[in-house]
Amino acid sequence: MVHADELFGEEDVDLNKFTDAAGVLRMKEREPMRRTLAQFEAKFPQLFVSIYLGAFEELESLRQLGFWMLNRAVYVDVAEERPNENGVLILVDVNSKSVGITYGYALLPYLDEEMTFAALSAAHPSFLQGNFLEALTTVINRLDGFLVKGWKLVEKDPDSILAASGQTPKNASELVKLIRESEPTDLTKEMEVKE
Amino acid sequence: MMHKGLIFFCILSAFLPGQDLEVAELELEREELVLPYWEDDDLAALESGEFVPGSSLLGNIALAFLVSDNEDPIELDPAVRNLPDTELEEPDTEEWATRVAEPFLATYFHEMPRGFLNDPQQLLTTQEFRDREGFLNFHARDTDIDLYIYLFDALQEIPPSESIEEVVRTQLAHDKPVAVVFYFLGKPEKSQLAFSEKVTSSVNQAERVKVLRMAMEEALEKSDPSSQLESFSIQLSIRLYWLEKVVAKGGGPHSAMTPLIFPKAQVVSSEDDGRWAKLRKKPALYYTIIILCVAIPVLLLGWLGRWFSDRRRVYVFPDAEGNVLLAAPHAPGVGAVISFASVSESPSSQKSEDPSYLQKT
Repeated sequence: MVHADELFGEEDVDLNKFTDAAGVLRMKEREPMRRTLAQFEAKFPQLFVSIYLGAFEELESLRQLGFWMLNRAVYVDVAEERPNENGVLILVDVNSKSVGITYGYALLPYLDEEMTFAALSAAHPSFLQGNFLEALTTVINRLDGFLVKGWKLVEKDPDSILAASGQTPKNASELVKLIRESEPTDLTKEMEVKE
Repeated sequence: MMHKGLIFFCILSAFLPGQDLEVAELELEREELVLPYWEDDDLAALESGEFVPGSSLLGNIALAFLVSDNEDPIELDPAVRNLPDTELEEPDTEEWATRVAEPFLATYFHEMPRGFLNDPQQLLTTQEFRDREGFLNFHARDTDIDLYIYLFDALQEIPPSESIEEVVRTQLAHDKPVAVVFYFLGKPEKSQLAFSEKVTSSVNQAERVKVLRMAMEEALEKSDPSSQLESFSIQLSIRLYWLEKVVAKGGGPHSAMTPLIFPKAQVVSSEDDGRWAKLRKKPALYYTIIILCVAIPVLLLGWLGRWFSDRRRVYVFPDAEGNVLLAAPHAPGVGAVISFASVSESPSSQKSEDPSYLQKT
């Protein structure tokens, strides 16, 4: 993160969840794009997808820019209950003709490198044709499908699914924390006396 | 009298010339002067009481009783009292109502019918006749079995020398399917039905009787004779329509067990008998088709229902927490990157595998 900050800046930046800095989408394509993002948010009330379409000069690593952007961006049009760790960033560099996906910590149990590659691959023909609206919609729909599958798995066995990505249910960790911080119970006191 | 004379005078004056008019005036004056008067003898008899006015109407017995001082009530002679009252005696209506009048016999039984409705006695009103005949004409256009209705009065009887079968045989075409009804207006239960040979060879007696019975039952639900005839003819027309199908099939012999008056659904299904019969011979295929016919719509509906519910479904993930990676507050920086620079290369070959920034940290 330090290295990324050195490259792109240490300050947070204000962004809209849909930014077409490269100007590749037509005016009439932007509304459908926003509608797709809104539908995603309606379906997943904790998550959001942001899109950045840029034309970068001499960009060393799109992946690194995505990593930095999702950590430093302050999305002005995203509600507070959807923090950046619950977000997915689709970053497109129209100059180098590359596209990447970065997502927050909260999505680690449900998405991985392989899934995001599958989503981008599905949209590859549309990217090649320069049809960015169709390509981005395809990517979002694929991610939607993976997230639904992840939701079904975590519904069945939340502990193991979360543990696989080094996470614990927030309620459980808070409970452990509370137990540790609370006064010893009568039972623990008895045990201490015996010892 | 004066008034009538004046009218007469006015009429005469309109037609007669001038001098004839004067003669007519004189005649009229003379006529006005003649008044009734008593003859001297009659006046004397009246005044003496010998002559009683109206005595000629009373008769001699009454007159004698009147002039006598007897005040007892007059009693009729028992012989007179027991005389049969021939003038008040009712005619034998039964006798004339049951008989078809001679002039109509030929029209009913010996002449070709002029139309599908034969009513020589004019039992129906003109409008009713037109309505019924219109319906029978419509029936004739719509079906092959023509329907002829002969109307009789309720109490009339068919003469013993005549019969409906004879009418069909002698008066109507033999090569056409024809139905003839003798209908008794107001008594539909007396109706008779006969078919031409073309129909009788295809339809057994029991079914022919059934056709008539059903029409009668339909008619008896109405109380008005005209409405009864209407219901009767409509029901008969419907039944003849189905009989027509039997006749059209070539009229193979029908057993008593085989109903010819099919309910509608049964008739429709019978049209597809060939295909279904073949299918039924192959139970595996038959039941597979039946099951598929039921299962596919059910599955389709279920899938649609699930699709709709999924579209509206909201997915909430459990809150979790884990360690921060790379000192990044929100995202660990994982996710694929691909290039779309080359049209010829696959997405896999254009995948970026270089997370160099991770190594640097």
